[in-house]
Amino acid sequence: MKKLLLYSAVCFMASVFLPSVGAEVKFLPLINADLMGGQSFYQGKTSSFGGHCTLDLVPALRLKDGVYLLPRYSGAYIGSSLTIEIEDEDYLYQQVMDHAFSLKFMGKNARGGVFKLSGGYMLEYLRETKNEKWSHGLYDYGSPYVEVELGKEFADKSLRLFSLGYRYYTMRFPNYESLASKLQLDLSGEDLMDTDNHKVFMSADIIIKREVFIRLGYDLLLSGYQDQKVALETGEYSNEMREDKTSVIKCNLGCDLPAKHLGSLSGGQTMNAYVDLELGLKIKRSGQNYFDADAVAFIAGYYDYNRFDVKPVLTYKFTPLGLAVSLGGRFSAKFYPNRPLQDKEGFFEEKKLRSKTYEANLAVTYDIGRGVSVSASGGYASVKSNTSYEKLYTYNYDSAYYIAGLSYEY
Amino acid sequence: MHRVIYTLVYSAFLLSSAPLFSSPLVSIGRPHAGSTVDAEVVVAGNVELSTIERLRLSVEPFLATAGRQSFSRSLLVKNRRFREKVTLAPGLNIIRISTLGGKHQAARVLYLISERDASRRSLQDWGSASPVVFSSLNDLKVNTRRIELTGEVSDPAVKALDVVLLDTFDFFCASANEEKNIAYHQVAVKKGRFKFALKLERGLNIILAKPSGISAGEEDVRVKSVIYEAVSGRVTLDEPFVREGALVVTGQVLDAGVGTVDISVDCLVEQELRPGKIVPKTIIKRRLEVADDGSFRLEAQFRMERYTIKSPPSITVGAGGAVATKTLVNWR
Repeated sequence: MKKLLLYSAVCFMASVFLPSVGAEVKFLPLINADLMGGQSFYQGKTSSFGGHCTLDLVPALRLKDGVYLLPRYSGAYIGSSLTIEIEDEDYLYQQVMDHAFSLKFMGKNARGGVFKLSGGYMLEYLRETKNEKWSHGLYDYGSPYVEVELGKEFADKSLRLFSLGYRYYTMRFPNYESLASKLQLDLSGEDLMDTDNHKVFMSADIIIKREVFIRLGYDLLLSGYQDQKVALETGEYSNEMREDKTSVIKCNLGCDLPAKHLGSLSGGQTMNAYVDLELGLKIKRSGQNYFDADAVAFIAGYYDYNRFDVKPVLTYKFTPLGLAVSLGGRFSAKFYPNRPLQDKEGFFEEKKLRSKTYEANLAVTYDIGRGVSVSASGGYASVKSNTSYEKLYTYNYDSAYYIAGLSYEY
Repeated sequence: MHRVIYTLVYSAFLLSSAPLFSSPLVSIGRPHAGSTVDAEVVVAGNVELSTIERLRLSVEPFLATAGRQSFSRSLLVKNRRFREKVTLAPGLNIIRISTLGGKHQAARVLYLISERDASRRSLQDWGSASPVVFSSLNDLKVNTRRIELTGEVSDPAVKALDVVLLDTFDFFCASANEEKNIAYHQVAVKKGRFKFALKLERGLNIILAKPSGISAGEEDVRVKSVIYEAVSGRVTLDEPFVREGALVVTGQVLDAGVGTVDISVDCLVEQELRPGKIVPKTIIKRRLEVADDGSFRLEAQFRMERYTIKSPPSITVGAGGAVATKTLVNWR
């Protein structure tokens, strides 16, 4: 299936653009690089000062008017440990390095029709301790993908852009193996994290009045676990593999506030302010259940949850100074409809588990010129849950970070 | 091996010095090309890649005079979207959004309607000192919608041209804030020569070309008028003319099965009851019987007591699904 998809993608791209390649081809590169350093704090632990480097190279090729081929390399190294949510459940505090290679074919016609076909491979390494070697992390994964997207831009309507796409990707965790399966105690499978995923996505950009912009988005993700059998009420495992369904509904609102001229303050500066608000709803329904052998309890849909996010950002930009200040926040509430609360000893209670995340961040960017900018940002996050039982997963933690350095964009 | 690598790198460098193209990596959602009565407009759009975090915005008046300066500033991109308020100068403005390296751009041309500047010269006087010289397309009328224009520039410092194509019928009618047919192209000049393709609209098209990136006055702008007339293998139109105040249209239907033709004459007019307001109008609309030999003939009076014709009338003949057009240049 994978080979067939990749082969089809390559053949299609070759048949479309190869006849056109000739004197018209232009090389139009894009570069984005960050060289930064920072520190993070997690549950009282302080990471050592570490480098944050990212590099995004797109040696774009213009094949003909409106037809582009975008080879791309994206790499990132985050040396100061970062809090990462794994599989929507477990929070890890670790260093990150990733590499992604992709190739995107993009065509746009004069009537606003857009066609995109892309494929690529992403590799992510996570390192939890200094002794651990890169590429030996338990949660390291590789993820190849193919994606097709169709869109239409509308010239003079409130609906400006509509797009619809499909993405197929797999996630393979080569080092992941549960301790139980190692001891041949866990009969659910060995490669428990490996998934094959089908994602359908759509988005619409809408402009109402002059200053209000809305982006609506919907994603539907179907994840099939390759080696994770479904737990049964008897405590045994069925022959069926776990299948999850995740829906994400997003609404981004953007609004311009009236500009202010700060003539007397700083020699003719204009201050523009923008408000962005992101609302999100994520609904995950898992085919996996949970059987607690100690409590002899069976919980169907243990991994199901609903999450609601609110993310406001206020940005001030001073022109012509080139200074931008962004103040943002996030509130997130996660409800598990089936997972009961556990007391400190792990005994199940009547109430269901829920958690809340509070986050605040501040970012300052100053444009030096010639594509170089200096920036500094910091943030604090607090995750609180109504449970204090954290044997399996971490539900309560505080974290913070700061990062500063240079960015270059070409 | 080193030579191969050097050649590749050098070729890449040469290619990278190519002029700007309209890139799908940067899209302007609004404003659309057209005209407006609001000097302050919101420029908004999106970028293809999330790593594009900053962009350069510039607003260049097509014609620069005192008090109409071009300006540029950086833009922030959030969630792959950008937006910024800008103030336009009266007349044509080129709004350009580009990546910081300048390799990817999108541009829109917007015409800010304002009171006519009395100091402006008439269109016939434009281009007296323009370094732009068109060397192709000597005919006023063409029968193909897509044309290629070639030419030279006399100033070796000119590396690119700003070219604006106005579909006059569409441009001068419709209301101020409607989408209009104003196309903008930035054209590369190589070794003093340039070549570009345009898609014409039916009727009179006006092409304005000036050196890119300079403050140009009317004398720097080369103007070319081209009339596009549609032809058909099933119906032909002779050159229309005016005789004693009447429009005479003759032609031939080549399809024996077609017994009638529909003729309409459209132009921009200033109505007597609403002076100063120019609107599109179908001034003649007739259905004619086709003679046995396939010929047809229309002779119709202009109703000049009701309106004043402000643009060359465009004559359209429809015959059984086939369409042919002609434009009457000397209608006065």
